[in-house]
Amino acid sequence: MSVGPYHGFEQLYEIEYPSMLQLAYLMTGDRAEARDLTQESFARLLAEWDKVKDYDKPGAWTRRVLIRLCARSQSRGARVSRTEVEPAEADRSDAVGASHDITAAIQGLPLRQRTVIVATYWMGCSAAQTAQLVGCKEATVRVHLHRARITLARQLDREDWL
Amino acid sequence: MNDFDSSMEHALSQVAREVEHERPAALAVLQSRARTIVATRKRVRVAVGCIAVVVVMLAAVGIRSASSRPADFAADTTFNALSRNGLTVEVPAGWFVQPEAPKGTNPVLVFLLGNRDVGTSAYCDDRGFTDPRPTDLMPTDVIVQIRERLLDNGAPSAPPVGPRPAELDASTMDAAMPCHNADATYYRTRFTDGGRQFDLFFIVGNRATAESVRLGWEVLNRFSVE
Repeated sequence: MSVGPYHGFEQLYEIEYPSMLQLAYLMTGDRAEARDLTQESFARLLAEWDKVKDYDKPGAWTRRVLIRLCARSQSRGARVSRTEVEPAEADRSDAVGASHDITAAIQGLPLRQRTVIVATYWMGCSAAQTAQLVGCKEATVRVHLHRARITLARQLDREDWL
Repeated sequence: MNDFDSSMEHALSQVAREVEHERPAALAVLQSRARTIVATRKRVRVAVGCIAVVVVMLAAVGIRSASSRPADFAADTTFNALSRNGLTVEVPAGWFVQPEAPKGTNPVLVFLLGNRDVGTSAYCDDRGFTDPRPTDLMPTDVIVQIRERLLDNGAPSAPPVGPRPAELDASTMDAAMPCHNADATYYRTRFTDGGRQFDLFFIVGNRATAESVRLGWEVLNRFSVE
């Protein structure tokens, strides 16, 4: 059965895996855990494939599962560390270093705020799409976004963001 | 787009690129995990179903015992007739009848029965007087005592009493003094039946079940003089 751009689970897995892994990595800051959570979300998709394959966007379903898994993982305190986002290379450039500072600060945010930031600025979701992804109202998304912005501006000493 | 927006997008994209070339796990790994998930869900569904059935059954039993059972129980209960001194009581199944009390007291305690074995504490007190109030009463106790006041053995004349009421219940018996521990209601009545005079006592613990109380009233009303 042809489903959107996918012809079956294997193709969806192939196409969506990289972005799902990136999402998990940005949410957790831990490469190994991101890998585990991504695989778990695809395993759950496979377990539900008979039902989910008929959805308009099975990828979106999987992303919601992944975000829930990230949240659960954080609440269990399963994350080993948020510091793995530090670049492997010691001689990183200033630009890369600044990006890592920002990302590390994002990962210090509360889960909802972090999810909203990642959904908005990395996934490119609108407030409505983010609200659907997170499971809250659009107004709540804007509140989280505003609070996250204030926190990040203070942590990174960027008054011009306020 | 302001600086905050562009900074966020740039930073997140740059960090996300660190894992963009990672290859996904083999499909077989996912299939194995998916099978486990399906099996676990099936077990959970079965367990939840079993729990739901048990809960429904318990609820049904609870509702039945709380509403319909008392009436059914009273109707279905077996009574066994027991005679002493020309009196007959019908004893509900499961109730206890104490052995015959010592003779020589007036009134004489003919029957002492209840939903629990209350011993012989109500037979007589230290002075040889009968005491209808068992000292070891429990709040769940229901006790019936049938005493006959002997009129022809030189005892002081009892005040004249009326005939037996058509039905003995809380309205036709006097609610008298509390028992020793005040954890019970104490009913008494005196009447004449067949030319004999009787004192009946009915002691109902404050936490006695409705079934026990109902059976106690049955005992009182089924009591007969030969």
